[in-house]
Order: sequence, then C-alpha cells, then structure tokens
Amino acid sequence: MAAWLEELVGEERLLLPGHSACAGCVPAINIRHVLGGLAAAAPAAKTVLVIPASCWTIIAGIWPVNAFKVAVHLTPFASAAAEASAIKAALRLRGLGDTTNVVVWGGDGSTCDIGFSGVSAAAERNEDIIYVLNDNEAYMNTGVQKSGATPEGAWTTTTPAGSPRAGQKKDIARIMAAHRIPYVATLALGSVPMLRDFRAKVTRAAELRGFRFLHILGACPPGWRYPTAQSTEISRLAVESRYFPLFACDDGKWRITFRPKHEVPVREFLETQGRFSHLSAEEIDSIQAHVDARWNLLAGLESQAEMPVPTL
Amino acid sequence: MSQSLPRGRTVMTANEAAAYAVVLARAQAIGCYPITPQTLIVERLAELVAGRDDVEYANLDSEHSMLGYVIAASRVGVRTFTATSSQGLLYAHEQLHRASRERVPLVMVNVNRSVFAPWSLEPDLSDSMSQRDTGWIQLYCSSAQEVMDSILCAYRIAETVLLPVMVCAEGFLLSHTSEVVDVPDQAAVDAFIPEFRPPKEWVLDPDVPRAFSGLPEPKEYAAFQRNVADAMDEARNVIETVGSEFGSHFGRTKIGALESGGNPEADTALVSIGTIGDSARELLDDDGELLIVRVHTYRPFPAAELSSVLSRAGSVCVVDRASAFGSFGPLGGDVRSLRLEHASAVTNFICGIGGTEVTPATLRWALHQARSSSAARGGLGPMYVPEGV
Repeated sequence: MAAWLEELVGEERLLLPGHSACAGCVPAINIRHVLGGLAAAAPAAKTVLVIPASCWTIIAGIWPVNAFKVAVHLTPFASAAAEASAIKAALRLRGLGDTTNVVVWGGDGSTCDIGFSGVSAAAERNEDIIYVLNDNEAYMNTGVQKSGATPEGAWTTTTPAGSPRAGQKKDIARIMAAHRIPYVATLALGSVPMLRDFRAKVTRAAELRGFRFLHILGACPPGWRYPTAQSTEISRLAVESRYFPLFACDDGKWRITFRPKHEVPVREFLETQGRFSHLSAEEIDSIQAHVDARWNLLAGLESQAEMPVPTL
Repeated sequence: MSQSLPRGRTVMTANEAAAYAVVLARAQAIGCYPITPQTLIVERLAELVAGRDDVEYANLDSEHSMLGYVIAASRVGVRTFTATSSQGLLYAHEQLHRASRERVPLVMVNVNRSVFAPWSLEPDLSDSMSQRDTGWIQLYCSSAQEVMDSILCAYRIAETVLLPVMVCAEGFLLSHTSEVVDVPDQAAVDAFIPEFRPPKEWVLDPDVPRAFSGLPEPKEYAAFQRNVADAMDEARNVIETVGSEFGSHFGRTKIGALESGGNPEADTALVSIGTIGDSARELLDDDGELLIVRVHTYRPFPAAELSSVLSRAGSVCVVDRASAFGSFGPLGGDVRSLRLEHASAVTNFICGIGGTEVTPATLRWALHQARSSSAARGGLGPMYVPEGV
C-alpha cells in the first residue's frame, strides 16, 4: 500500500465508531476525510462543525452524546451559514480565529433551497469559513423528497415516476463560483485516485482563507435505491460517467482536476439505481446530452480568462 | 472612525438611545438587517463601531440569519445585540423559540410595528405580543429614557438568568420622537454591567468536543422546556433586584415589573402597557377616583405585583394595543387570569391598532364603558374601541 494511504488508515477518526448513519452511507465516509484532511493540513488547528437540520442532526448523537471528536453546533435548517459566520467572528474576538476551522456540513436542501440566501450572503461577505455541501440529491432525512439538487429524471416520493418534468439539478458549484470566492471544488470518493483528489482539495481549502465551498457527492443507498455494498462503485461511476465531474475554481482559475481514464456512458451510472429505473432510452439519451454539454462547458472554463478573487 | 457618545442630558430619539445604550453596554457582536422603523438603531451602531476591532458587526441576509448570528456568537461567549420590527420579528420566529431553550442571553430591541396584511408602518404591539410564548423576557417602554435604561438592565437580567430579553418600544411614537435622555458615563455603566462570564460548560469551545442542542429523549426534551420556565420564575426576582440597583446606581426611577399612579384606594383601575400607560397619566388630572397601572415587564408576567396593586379595585379596565382574535387581548387575558379579591369586573379594550391614535379621550371612553356598560362586563371577549373615539 502506498505510504500516503497507510497514513490515512492510521489517522485519528473524528467521527467515532457507533454513530447512527445508515449502512453504506457515503457522507459518513466523506466527512471522515473532510475532518481528517483538515486535521492533517494543520495539526494545531481545531475544527468546529456547524450542522443544520439533516440526517446529521441525528447522526451527531442522542443528547448529550456527541458522535464527533470536535465541537458541534446544531442549527435550524436555514441559518447554518450565518451561524458559522458568527462563530468565526466570536472566535476572532476571543483570539481563537486563526486556530479554528469553522466548517458547515449542510445538505442539499439546506444549501440549495431553504438556506440558499444565507449561503449566498456568507459567500458575498467572503466569511472565513469552509462550507461543505453534502449532496445526496434529495431530502433524504424526511424520506426522499425532491430538492433543488435532485437530478433530472430521478424518482423521489414527490416526483414519482411519470410525473411532469421536475427540473434540472441546480448548478450550485458554478453559482457559488460566481460569488468570486477563493475556492470552489467538487469532490467524490469512488476510487483511490479520487481519494487523492478529494484529500488534495480538503488540504487546499485548509490553506486558504475566506469562503471556501466544497461540493461533495454523497451517494445514499435508501434514497437512490441501491444495495449498500455498491456505494463506492456508484460514486466511481458518477465521476467516470461525467455525471458528477470533479473540478475546482481556485482563485478564479477553473480546472477539471480529474479526467477519468475509463469513461463510461451515463447509462451505466443510472442503471445502478432504482431512482432512475423508470427512464426510457430517449430520456437517458437526453440526460447524456446534458452531461456532455456540461462537461464541454466546464472544459471551456479552463481556458477562460482568470478572474482573481478579492483578497480577504 | 467611530463616533463618540453623548454624555448627560441630550435630545435624542428612542432609536438613538438604544444605539448608545448598546455601545455603553459593550456589545461585541452585532447582527443587522434593516426594517422600518428600527433601521436607525443599526445605522447609528454601524457608525459608532466603525473601525473598532473589538466589535464584530455583520450585515445579514434576513432576520432569520440575523437571529442565528447572535445566537451562535452568544454560544461562543460574547455579548451580542440585534434589533428588528414587525415582519422581521415574525420572520425570525423559529429562532426566538430556540434562543430561550439554548439559554443564550441575547438582548434585542423590537421597535413595535403593525403586522402585514394589509401593509402598515404604524405602531401596535401585535408583533411582539404574539411572540409571548417563545420564552423571551419582554420589557415594554414608554419613553426614550426607559429604552436606554431597559437595555442596560436587560444585559444584567439576561446574563444572570441566561434567557433572552426583548426590549419593546412603539415605532414612531418612541423610535422617531426626540426627547431629553440622560446618558450615563461609560465608567458608571461598566460598574453596573460586569464582563460577560457565562458558565464554562455553556460555551462552545473548539478544544472540547461537545454537541449543543442535539436530539434528546422526550424526558430530557421536556426538561429543556421546564428549565426555561424555572429561569422565567427566577427572572422575577432578578428583574426586581436589578431594577432597584439600577435606580440607586444611576439615581433614576427604578425599572421594575410595573409602574402605578393615581389613587391606590380607587374603585376603578386602568391597566395598560407601553406609551398608552403614559397617556393614561393625563386622566389623573381630573379623575381622583382612578388608579393607573403600566405594565413594564410583560414576561415573566408580574402576577403577584399586579394582584397586590389591584387588590382593592372593584372594576379593572385593561387596555391592549395588540389584536386578539377569538379571545381576550394579550394583557386583558392575563389580568383576567389573576385572582382579584374585590374586582367584580375585568373588562378588556383593544385600541391603537395599526397606529390609530390613543388619546386620553380614547381611554376616557373605555373607562366610561367599563364603569357603565353591562354589556362589556364579564363578556366573552374584548371590546374594540371604535376608530375615531
């Protein structure tokens, strides 16, 4: 095993064993690597997690238990970004601003829908926080309802198969980049090379100051309707099919950070999940066309003139 | 550059008095979102703290975010301030409930304004009175001086019992009306309000992996709520003590649960809140058979103090400036819940809604009804004072 991988295996777990996430919960693996990556990047720094209403309200533990080895501040659905801003501000007043990462771990409903105004405002103020979008593409904690991040064609309990076209997944990463914040990146964990990309992005976020936005794909077995053992495989297919491209906008410079060596049609990704099982061949072709168009757009952004962000 | 504060007797509005009180109280984190008629408070504060690195001032995207901001800053152990009105208060409603259970000692000024729909900028108390059961201590003012004094007391009260305090002042009648206000010295305020030192286990500390407000078992959830009720009860004594101390420290009238005037032996008593209590004083000029009571602390409700001051009254007339649909007004219902030994009737009148004028004549009309009309006595609901009385 490569030395860097061995180090990861041995690193301290900041989400403790015994937490109550579902079997196969990809976000539970993702958060381990966010917290681990931040700790590795700056061992002396502490992290405060700010968690709005979500599965993570429960996974964090039944009061007064804390499933995390970091301080956790739970918030209502819509105010995590404002509260993270406040925690950072108050820590600055207490002289702890430089030694604490304030990290929001918010779902797609919180980020793209009900809390969007607050996320946008915190980005506009360039608050010195890391905002992580834990994107499982629907309101999963309430039992799989459509959110602004639900992809086209996906079944949810409020967009049953055959319901009228429910909308396109909000392109939240590009929306956030339009705020001219220091760092926007997309992350997913489906293979060892993707893990390297993932950890490099967490490290980069830790190095920077200002509003950093990490958009992480979090496959959800009950919500996406697939067997728990396939979580990693599905995350890999999401990236290799270019359904979820891995890219970054670092100081205004766009780059696709992970070009799959083995590209697969989006059909291979869709076929793994019950939420897409009702789609016709024509509908899958249409999704493929949208996936290709977005990839081309992102590739075009790489050669776009840089628009450096204002310094904090 | 930050501006300096006025000292001594100075002409100012209640909004300005609020801003100066907040600076004197050394609030460290201020959350801002504009709404008429509160806006001048946060504007003046922005000027006063500009360039200071010991104060964090944030422009938020909504009152919901703004309340979240001050709750979270307070959780980290710093003194906070925010202000709002009407729609803003209602927009933040979810956070108000939460603030009391999180036991964060926020101080917020609500400049009272009528509630949409239809639109109105004018004052009534429906906005804050409808937040009665959110677990906030509520203080209602009748002058700019009282706004300043109440804010200074509010920090002491909030940080002693660990509950949020809402200081309420009617829009325009107070917020935009200039009066003479006696501004205390910074040194005197520093001697009155000690540094904020919350319990250690209450503060979010990056070195301690604690989770705040996680999902408890039902029994523990209920205990969170019961603890707020206990803190409210404790607040009764603390408000009394802090008010007395304030009076002697600054040489001013005590700010307590209520204020009374007129004839304590009178058969008729008029109970009101806010600026109506001030208008009621004029009735005493030609009515020797009247006791007037102005409620300053609405929550915790001063049941003992009211029962005592109203113990000899036969007819109690309660005037509300907040809407009530299907039952008594907020103050009327509470006063009716008291066991008053000698009261044969407690009548409830609603007036001043949407900024309709409440003059001594309005109150005389209400008193006349209370004293003479059998229809109003012991009825099943309040009587709306007709517009134009």
